[in-house]
Amino acid sequence: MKSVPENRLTNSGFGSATSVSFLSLTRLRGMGSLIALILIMGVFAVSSPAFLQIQNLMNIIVQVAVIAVIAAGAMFIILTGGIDLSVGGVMALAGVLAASAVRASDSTTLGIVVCLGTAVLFGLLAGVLVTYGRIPPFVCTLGTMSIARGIAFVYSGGIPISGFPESFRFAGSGEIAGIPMMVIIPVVIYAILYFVLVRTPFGKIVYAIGSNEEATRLTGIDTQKYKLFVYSLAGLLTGIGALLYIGRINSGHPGSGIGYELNAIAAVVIGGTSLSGGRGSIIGTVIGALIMGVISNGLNLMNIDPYFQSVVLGTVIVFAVMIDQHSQK
Amino acid sequence: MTITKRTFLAVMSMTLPLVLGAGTALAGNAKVFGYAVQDLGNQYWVAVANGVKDQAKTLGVDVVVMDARTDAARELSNIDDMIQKKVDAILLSPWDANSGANAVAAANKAKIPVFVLDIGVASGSIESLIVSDNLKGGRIAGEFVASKIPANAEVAHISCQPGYVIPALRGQGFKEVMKEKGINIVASQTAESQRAKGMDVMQNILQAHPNLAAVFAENDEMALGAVEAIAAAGKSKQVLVVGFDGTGDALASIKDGRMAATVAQQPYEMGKLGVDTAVALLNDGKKPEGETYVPVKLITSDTLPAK
Amino acid sequence: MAAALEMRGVSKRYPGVVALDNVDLTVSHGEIHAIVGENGAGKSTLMRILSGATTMDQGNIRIDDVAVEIGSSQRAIDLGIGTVYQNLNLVTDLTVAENIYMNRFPMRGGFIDRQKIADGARRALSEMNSDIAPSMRVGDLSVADQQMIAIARVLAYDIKILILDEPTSSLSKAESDDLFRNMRRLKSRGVSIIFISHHMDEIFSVADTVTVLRDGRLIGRWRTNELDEHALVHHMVGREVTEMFPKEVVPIGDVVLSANHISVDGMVHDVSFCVRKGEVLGIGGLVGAGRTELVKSVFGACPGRSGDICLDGQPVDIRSPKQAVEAGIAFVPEDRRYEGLITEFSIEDNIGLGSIWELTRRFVVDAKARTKLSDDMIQTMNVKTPSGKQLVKNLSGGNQQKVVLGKWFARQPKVIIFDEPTRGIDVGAKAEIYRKIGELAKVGVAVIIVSSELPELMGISDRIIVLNKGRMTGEFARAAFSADRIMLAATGKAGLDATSPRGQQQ
Repeated sequence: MKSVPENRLTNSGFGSATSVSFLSLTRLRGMGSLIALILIMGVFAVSSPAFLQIQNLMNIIVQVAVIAVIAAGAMFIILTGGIDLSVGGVMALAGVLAASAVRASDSTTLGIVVCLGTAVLFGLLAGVLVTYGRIPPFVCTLGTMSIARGIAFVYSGGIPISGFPESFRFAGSGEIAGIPMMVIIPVVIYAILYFVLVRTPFGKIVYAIGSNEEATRLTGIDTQKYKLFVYSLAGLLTGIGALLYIGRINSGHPGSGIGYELNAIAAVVIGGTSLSGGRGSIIGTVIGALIMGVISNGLNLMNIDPYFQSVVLGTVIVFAVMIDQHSQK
Repeated sequence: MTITKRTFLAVMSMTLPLVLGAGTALAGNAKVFGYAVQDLGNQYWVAVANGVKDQAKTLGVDVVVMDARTDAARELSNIDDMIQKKVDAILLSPWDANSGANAVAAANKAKIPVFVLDIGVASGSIESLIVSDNLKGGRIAGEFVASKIPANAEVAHISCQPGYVIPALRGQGFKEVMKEKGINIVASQTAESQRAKGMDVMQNILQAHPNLAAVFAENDEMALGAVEAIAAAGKSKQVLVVGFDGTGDALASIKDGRMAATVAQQPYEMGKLGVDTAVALLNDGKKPEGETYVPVKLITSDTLPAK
Repeated sequence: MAAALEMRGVSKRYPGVVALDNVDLTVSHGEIHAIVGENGAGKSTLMRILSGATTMDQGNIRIDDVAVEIGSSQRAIDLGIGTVYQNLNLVTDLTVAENIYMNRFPMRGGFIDRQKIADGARRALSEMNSDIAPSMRVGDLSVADQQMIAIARVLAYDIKILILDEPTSSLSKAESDDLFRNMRRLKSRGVSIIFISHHMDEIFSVADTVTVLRDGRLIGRWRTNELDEHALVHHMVGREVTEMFPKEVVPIGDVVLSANHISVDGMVHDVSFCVRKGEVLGIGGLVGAGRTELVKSVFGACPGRSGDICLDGQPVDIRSPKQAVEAGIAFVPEDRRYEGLITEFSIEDNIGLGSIWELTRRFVVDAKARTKLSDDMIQTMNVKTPSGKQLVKNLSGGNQQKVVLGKWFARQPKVIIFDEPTRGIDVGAKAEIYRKIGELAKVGVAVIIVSSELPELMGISDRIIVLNKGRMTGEFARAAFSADRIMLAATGKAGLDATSPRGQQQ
């Protein structure tokens, strides 16, 4: 008796010639984007002598640090089959409140607590609405985005709050042994999240929820609780992103972070994560963020018309999703 | 599947050189300026950028334009990229005075001279601020309004966001003239630089002051919103609208007789002046003034540029 | 007279696998022709070729003695071949009439002619003795009615050959009988019907002829009156299935789980039952009788339950599957691909997920322990797979079900609840699942089985309770099993059976 139902033979019969390439491709998920990254970097290296210098590569990481950190959170949510559109607004609010707390108290600790706390609270709020309130994540986070940005404008009166002590700016503009914190922090975060996703039960459960939430629930796993946790985690990462952001530009601006949610989602998608959940890798996401940063930086160095940059970026996103779709079949 | 991957790589490797070709290769020994602009989605900044590019071409300087797309962090990234490229001077139109200060700090550290076009910066060492004479512009608007209405008439003033220094100068100039002429400003509200808000605010003002004779808005967008609100209230003949900036929409509205006047900034001239100032310093060692003013001019239906 | 359909020497090869190897099929006019075979035998591929969904590598097809090429689904319909797939392909948000006329709406002045489609739909349905209103939303109808509509839609074309792919898989006995009456009516009008089914009793009651496939090859073609069930199964599996229901006598111990006065909002009304150590309790009834809701609510997966549940004599509060699993209850759902398994995961990941916290040491999943657990379960459950890394979606239905069993068995539960454990599983694998259920009982697990298949229920249960419209209408000890009386209870025509007292007092 064959163990493969006949109607599946076309796409995934194991032991067959096609299945070998299919399986190896599945294992190499994210490799497509890595190849694309190397290729793009190759083109820039040839066309701009400044591109491959250590300082420039460091610049690229600094430039994508905020997106990379919030993309990691977005990725966890997308893995569970959800989406988070609130990050830009939450970043702005966390930034404004933290800036104001720091200005008022001169306490770096308070600023950090306010920044991370605000973002986690908004993550938790979205999580509660999505799980227990049964509101679709798209609508729910569209709402919380607007709420957060609205509060940011109301609270600040539309005026940026600037001027922080050096210690508060350390995360965004400090460096250790010549390496910017904007490089160190994302690397540490990604290392931790990689471990969490690949080795811990939490990681497995995140994938399981995204692949088949009902089956996961019927296996005796409290899926609601984990989703709540995932949204809070994404909130925390948004908070860290906000901390880096305001530290870098030395200002909490209510209009900051506009469009960051889409950039974060784009990084996740370019990295090969499926928007329907359950499939994706953390390495892919970091590569996705880097591709976006490299393109922006390289085209800048090559003096390409700024308008044209978004055309190129859009093209890359479309190709990334196309690869994703074809490897799903 | 393998076909798709190959196609992807093929297309990518074909697209990028194309993109490469779209940019102009930089000549070896000419000076290179970087222009970091806040938002090329805005006509005004596009005009400044065109002034920069055209004047640079005339003077034989290469210029790299980088767009921050209204994001302070991207603005800083752009400055980093310019430093990486070792440009000879940076022209900067910052997102706001604070983000500008960060950009200038980075350029100062790399010892690259900075010329700020409009907006201004909160701190840092710059060669010159090239800016429209906004206070004067506000005064010009005030003089125009005063010449058209009786001294006992009621006028209103619509401002940009509180804390925006440059538009506030326009309002200040306008108010000075009103005070001198003894004209009463019955309402002064903010519409956050936006057309839709301008319309809402104007509706409210008209409700409170039905006999209003004129309104001055600190930018054209808000003025155009006010025009709509006035038309909806059927008071187009009664209320005089004066804006600031001289955008295409505003000029069209003046041509149609819906708006009375605008104080035109000359962004293209600003861009040219920026390059002139930088070239004068770098090539001829001529130190510029701390602030360099770009003239503004009143545009009414009589002085509309022929087109 | 020439045959309605003749397929000769049909072969179809997928990379690495021969799906069909030189298969013949002959269907006469006005004949109901069953095609049987285990999953993977080639039935679906053959039907896909016939309906134009795929093409054959070799072979030829003649309809009424005329050679034809079927290249597309449209071409198949033009040739008079209509197919009703198992999943029906209806648009649930549209009306009955709209579904029947999908793709070929009669237009009047640029708009759909609503009167015409309503009349046409009514006519098509009345031909099948159905009085479903054409204006009903399809999603509001029962599965049986939806099936009727799917058939009516196909018949609205000039169909000479109708293919029904496992049409009874979601129907109750009475609904199936209705369907069979309609099939006979169509047959009397000269339509030839190709009928795919796993159910022996259906094949013998409705089909005239049967073609048996095994491993992509033709085994033979018989008239149904030439052979019996036993022989047919033998042809299908190529071996004797001596003991379909290998029921072992197991000592039955104390009550493990008792559920008292269970009600579920509008679906189940005041049902009490218990199950003992080593006992297999069957729950019978028609589709929609509330059986699934009853067992799901005991597992904490169905909201709106009232009543108490006791485990080992202690009351337990079960409001979520998590609490149920922690209390030692396991649930094997009816739809394994959507509720039982994560098909994109490997076998190892699925089995590991069930015991994920038990496999965790200091925040990290112990990969070695997980592989060992999974390999043990693969062996215990006899899952046919090259390795535990194989994705579950690449397994056959029977093997998938064994993975679900493995996932739960690894937790050593006190109670296992099965909902339709052998649905869509081929005959050979079914016997194996029954054997595994028997083994579970033998090691002292209390087993609850919901099944619509009476022979299955009677074959493996020690005791059967029957539901009708959410109420318990019968309880039978094994000695008192009778298909007639269980059926009667299921249709609500009999009261509580006197031959066996209620479980608790036994």
